[in-house]
Amino acid sequence: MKRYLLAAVYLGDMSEQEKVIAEFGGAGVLAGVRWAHESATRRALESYCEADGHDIAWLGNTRFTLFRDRLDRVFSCGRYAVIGDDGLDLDVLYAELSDQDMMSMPRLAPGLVRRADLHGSAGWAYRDRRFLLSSGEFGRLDTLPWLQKSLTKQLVAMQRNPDVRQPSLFEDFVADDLGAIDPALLAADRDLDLATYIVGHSLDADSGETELVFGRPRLNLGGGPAWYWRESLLSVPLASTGQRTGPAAPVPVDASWVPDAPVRLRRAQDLAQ
Amino acid sequence: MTSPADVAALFDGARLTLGRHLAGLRKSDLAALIDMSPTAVAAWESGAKRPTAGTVAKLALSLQVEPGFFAMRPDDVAALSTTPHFRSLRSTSQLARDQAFAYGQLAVDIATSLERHVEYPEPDVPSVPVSVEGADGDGPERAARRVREHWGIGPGPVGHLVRLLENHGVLVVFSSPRGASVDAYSFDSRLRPVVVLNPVKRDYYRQRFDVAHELGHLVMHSDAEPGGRTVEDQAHRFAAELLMPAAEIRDLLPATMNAAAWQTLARLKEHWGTSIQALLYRARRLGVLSDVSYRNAMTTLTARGWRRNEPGLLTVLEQPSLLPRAVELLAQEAIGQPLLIQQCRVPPDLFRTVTARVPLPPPPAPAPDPRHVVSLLALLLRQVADRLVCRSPIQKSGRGGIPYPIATPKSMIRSPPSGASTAS
Repeated sequence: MKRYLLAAVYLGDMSEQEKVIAEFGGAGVLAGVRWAHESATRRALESYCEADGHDIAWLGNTRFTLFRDRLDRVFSCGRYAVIGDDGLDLDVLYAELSDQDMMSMPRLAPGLVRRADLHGSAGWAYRDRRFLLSSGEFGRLDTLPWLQKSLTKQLVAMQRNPDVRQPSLFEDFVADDLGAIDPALLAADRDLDLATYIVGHSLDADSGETELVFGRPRLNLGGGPAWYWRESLLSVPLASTGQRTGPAAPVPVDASWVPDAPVRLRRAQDLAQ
Repeated sequence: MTSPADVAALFDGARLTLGRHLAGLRKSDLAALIDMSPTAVAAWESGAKRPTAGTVAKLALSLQVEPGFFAMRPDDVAALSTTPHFRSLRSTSQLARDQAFAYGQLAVDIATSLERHVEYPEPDVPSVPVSVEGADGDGPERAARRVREHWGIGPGPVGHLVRLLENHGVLVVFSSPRGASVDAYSFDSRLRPVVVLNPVKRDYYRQRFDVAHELGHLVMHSDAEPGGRTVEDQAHRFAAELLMPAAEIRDLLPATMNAAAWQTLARLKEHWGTSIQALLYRARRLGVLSDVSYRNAMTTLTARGWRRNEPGLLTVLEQPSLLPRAVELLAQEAIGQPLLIQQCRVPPDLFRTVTARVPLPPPPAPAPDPRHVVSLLALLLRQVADRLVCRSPIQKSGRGGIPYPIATPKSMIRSPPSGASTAS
């Protein structure tokens, strides 16, 4: 579509972060993730009742289950997949959703995103990039300890960072830290079948505040940053809203999303001049 | 934090003017607040006299800024900016215009402060001066085509217009929801051109036209006297040609108005990212649609309530990214907002408004009368005070036991001059 001309022009010399965010953002995938996250969090908090015996573990579990369900809905995957020529069964798609959820659900073409689980972890893929979900403690997503997560997540965090242009102390693992890693991981290939990213999410149950990021995880042995890069999705617009009318609806893409202007950090030598 | 005594030695009168304008006060209003004469305020602002430490403290309290706000800084961008282009000059009060311009200067100030840590795209806005005298020529259209060519836009719709400007070094920010009586405006600072968007319209298509209009001023009117009817008309023509080039859209526009024509307009609206009203105006201007058909179409629009609220698929505004991106990048380097706010020496609330991707929510109901000029500096304190009141039946005081003023002093809310009306 011509409206993406700018995005196309600037894709050439972008970092992986800019490229991935531009691709996923331009196609409306990020808007879908944000919608799913908001819908799931809202419903989980509405249902949460300490008097009924619910606890934080219940909330975490419910939120994950609903997040997975909402992602399947917005991307027409799993039980919401469109089969044959019958089109979408809107009754199923909208079942139990609030009016707000229905109105704000981005209209994405079925097939745009597909389910792509990895070793049993729920995953979705757009083109040749996959994302999995991982929750964390509110306020600490940036230091999310991958070693305490499943082997699959550790495997994802072990992928090579394509943005490294020169050798760096931080890129490869320090020998001393290797003891902490599961031997199965050490033996594994650091390149997965699809470049895989993580959608990190967290909730402060008291205030209802949330965090939602999309990024390339970094296996942070001995602490340190949990991401090579990550982008907050909380400000991603839920662009083209409105109810679905069926599979024949115009291809619904988030036309308002293009990469940020190329702002870059000054290096030490810039400042010295 | 800089103490009033330190600031007294480094006092910069231009900063006082800026603070007063942000608060929407006349010199006499400020003088009354601190129990001094307007002449004294004028003398501090012009630099003829320097206030004492005690007066600096009073000024800071009255304007609700840190004393450090008044301190001299190496680059005074305020003095180096051109006069901004405001639409509807006659219906916007001087106080509102001063406030809006002060906000724009503050945005430049913040951008400059962040620029020590980050690099923005280089300013690259072509200058194509168009004579205000030759209103009948095709200067604005040529200028728009020149911009398309210079920026390599190519045929078809222009993409994300705000990003296009940003990628060519223009600073785009949303104005404060409190200063909403002023339409979008633009000016050129020594560092980069600036476009300040009205946050209240919340219409994707109309905002794009506003941005294109302001770009027109920046490209064509660097030397022109702002506010004239011809200048505004030229900026409109520039915007129309930039967003809907005549050569491409002429044959697509409806020549008669019927049911099919409305469908065509709805399609064109989504394709070109411009409102139906702008398309109709374009159709008439290009002679595709007769004056009678145009008038009838506008009547229909009014009857359907579309003059103010047209239907459209896109409900999210184009968002600026230059400053928000800079703040995010610095946060990743462990340079947080408190430090940046300290470096910029601006009120935290205004820092957040200027660096936001989306317009901050308007103040709680009842909405302020847009003809009134309300201080931009009091918002945060009021929000904090509101929260405190909500949480506890006992009204809490501010830090150090000194109670913050909860409500804006009445003298800060001015009635508009007689005959003033809301800007269109």
